Amino acid sequence: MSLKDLTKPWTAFNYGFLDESAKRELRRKMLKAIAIPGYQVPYASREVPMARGWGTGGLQVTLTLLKPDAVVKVIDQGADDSVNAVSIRKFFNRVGGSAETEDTSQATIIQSRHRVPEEKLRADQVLVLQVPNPEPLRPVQPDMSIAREMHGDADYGQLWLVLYEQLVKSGRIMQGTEYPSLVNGRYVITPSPIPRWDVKKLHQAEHLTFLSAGREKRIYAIPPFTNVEPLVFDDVPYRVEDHQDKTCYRTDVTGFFMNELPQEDGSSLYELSDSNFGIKHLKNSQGETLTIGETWYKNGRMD
Amino acid sequence: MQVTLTPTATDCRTNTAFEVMMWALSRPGSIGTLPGDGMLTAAECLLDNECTFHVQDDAPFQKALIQSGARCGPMSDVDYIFGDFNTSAKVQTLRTVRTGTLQYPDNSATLFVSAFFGSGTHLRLTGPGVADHITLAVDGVDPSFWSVRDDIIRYPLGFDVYLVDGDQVVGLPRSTKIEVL
Amino acid sequence: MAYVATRGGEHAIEQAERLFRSDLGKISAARVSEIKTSLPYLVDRVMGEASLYEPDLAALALAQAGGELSEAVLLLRAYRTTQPRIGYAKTIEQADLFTVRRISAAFKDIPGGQILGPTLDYSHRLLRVEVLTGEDYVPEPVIASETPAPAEQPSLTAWQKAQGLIADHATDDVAPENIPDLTREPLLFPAPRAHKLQSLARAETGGVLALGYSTMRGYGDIHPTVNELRLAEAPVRLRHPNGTVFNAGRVRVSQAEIITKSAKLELGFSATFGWNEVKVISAATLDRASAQDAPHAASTEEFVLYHTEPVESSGFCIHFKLPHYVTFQSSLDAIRRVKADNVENGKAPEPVNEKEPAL
Repeated sequence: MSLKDLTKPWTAFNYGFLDESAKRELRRKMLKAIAIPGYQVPYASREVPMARGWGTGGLQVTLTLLKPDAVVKVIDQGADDSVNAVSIRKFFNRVGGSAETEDTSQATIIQSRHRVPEEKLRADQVLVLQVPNPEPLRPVQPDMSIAREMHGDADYGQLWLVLYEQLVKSGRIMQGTEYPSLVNGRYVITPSPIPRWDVKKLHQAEHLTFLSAGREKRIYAIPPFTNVEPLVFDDVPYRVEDHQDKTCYRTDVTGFFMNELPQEDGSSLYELSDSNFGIKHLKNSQGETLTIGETWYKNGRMD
Repeated sequence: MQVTLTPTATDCRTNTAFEVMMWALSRPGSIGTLPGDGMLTAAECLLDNECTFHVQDDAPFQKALIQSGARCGPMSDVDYIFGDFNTSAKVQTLRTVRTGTLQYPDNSATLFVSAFFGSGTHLRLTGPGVADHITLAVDGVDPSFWSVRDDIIRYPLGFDVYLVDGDQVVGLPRSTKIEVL
Repeated sequence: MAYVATRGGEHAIEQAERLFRSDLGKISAARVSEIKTSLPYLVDRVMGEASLYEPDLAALALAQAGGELSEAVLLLRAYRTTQPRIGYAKTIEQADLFTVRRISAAFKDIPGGQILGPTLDYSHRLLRVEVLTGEDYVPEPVIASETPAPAEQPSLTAWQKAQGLIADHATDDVAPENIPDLTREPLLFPAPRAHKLQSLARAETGGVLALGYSTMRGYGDIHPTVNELRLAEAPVRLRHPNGTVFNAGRVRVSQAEIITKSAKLELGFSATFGWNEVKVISAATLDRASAQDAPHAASTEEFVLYHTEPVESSGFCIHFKLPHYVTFQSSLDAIRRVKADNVENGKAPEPVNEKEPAL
């Protein structure tokens, strides 16, 4: 063997940016994540050309899945045209030659920060959620080693206590986004800071979801047809945000998660948070005939 | 970094192989097709010098895997196990494989098991990835494999299995409940 | 169609980046080379935190980032992850180092001698303002010693161990390629010693100083004495596939041993790429502190290693600039609901005491 056998022709960067060793590690960990739904698999989490906290965990998963015929959609807070989403989408095109789309139904991979699209995802689609903090126990146990033992023992009593305290103090469970949820009856996860509106979309879904925290170096998954149950007390039902009756002022569409736009007169306007969903409605109202997929929520309800 | 990169033939093969394996494990019981010989292609997209493996009685295949930089070891210690489990004696050796710890259930083995699909033992699968249930006929695996698997798995502790028939592959994660019909 | 209006953002980010880059102007090889030669300690710091030893690339990263340190480290780290690993250097001992500075505060003199080497320790920190009015500052020439210090120096600890002053811990005989590698494995706790030292080696200098300083001031039971501090160049020895071991080059390294006395003398250790004395003294102190039972954050391995990670801490800090309106909307909904409940029940509105999730 010579040094030459150990090397290959110099290239500035690999296909898909990550080197082979990084990709293989991610593949191994992603498979483990699928095999143990909701369990946080530690991974090395390489540095990527974006700052930590800006979607580097999601980025690494998407890069591992990237193929030239992949079609990638990236959303931030529901919007495809948010500046960071644009920047991430361009990066995939640059290092993977993959096609970009804003249309949920066209995408093979959807990387998202804080939202799940309103149109139902299909069996051939992968949702990659960016996760800032993967540990649902962090509010009750900041020490990660102890939190890991608690997961090992399925010891979620303290988490229940927090929810109970909120009920007693405020009369309501006050958790906004990242509502702790039990996956496959075993692991409590944080579904990333998606609204409560979106958590239900992960339950017994057709698609595969990866949740990846780059900075915290943990990856977990929700395979298709897996139970995802928000932690609730039997006599206090899970409540999504009160958006079922809100109407988007641009599209006149009612019954989906909205952005609130405060007005100078003290009132608020609402617009659809899922920007591509909104645009399709808008274009159709102007005479185009875009297909709008089946939605999870119908008339503001999901049963 | 001005140009869009194009994947090499190896990039294409390993990326496709991984995608097939990802869907196979996400939908237990569904049959995926790998881009090439099942065992070798699967190994190529997963193994490198950070892994350990064990091959049962197949010296050329073992030699091929060593090329990946992965280290060979006894069945009880390794990350990946490749082989036939077509006798009850071989199945009994499974009792030593790593099943992880409660803190790190991922610190456990993955098995690649030679099999034939379409005839033989009928299995009924339920669990994550399966809508209601799915049935699968598997030959070439000793029937005791299923009860031993059931014995060993103490979810979330356990091991994950890929059944490999030529270029075809079926994933059976530890989360899948398997009933022999 | 106001959705289109937000697309102006795409144009805006591009122009914002151009603005940043145009403020810095043209980056030429000459500029990079000037940074490398005039700011070697800054280049060292970046290489240490990036855990990539390549002064040209580190200087380029500094030029591209305009000296924004966390950006420069991120640039270099992101480059590093793409590089294949083609070999493992041989383990070297302290006595193999080409030592240029070596001091001990524990003894007046030590076997091999105290070697001051390059330092500002005893300088008067006076700005040479005359330079600004056109008068060059030309450093005075160094007068060579009559008896040059030997380049290779024994380890002081080896002497202390031989005298029975310090307990000798058994070391694992691990092949270089089997040493746990933090850049390829996640940091888990309790951390293997290799991970801990690697993590400290690539930690953010300011962060390590802040936490190390807290233990030195009294949050913990560490009264550090610098047992040995070294600035050196370390040979990188590789094995050629044909079996010969050859020197591939030298890298600048710093290392510190601090010693603390409780029941017995105990050591803390740290080493990093580049010459960065503040960092290795602080990190060696933290290494020692983490071995003690103390109720302070800076004595906790997990706390120290997680929070001094330069790329993770700076990235998370700046991510709070990203929009969070979905999360905010969701919390708003819960707060409004409680208010509505209170009005319904005729109760005075209560202050809402919500446990905010970490976003």
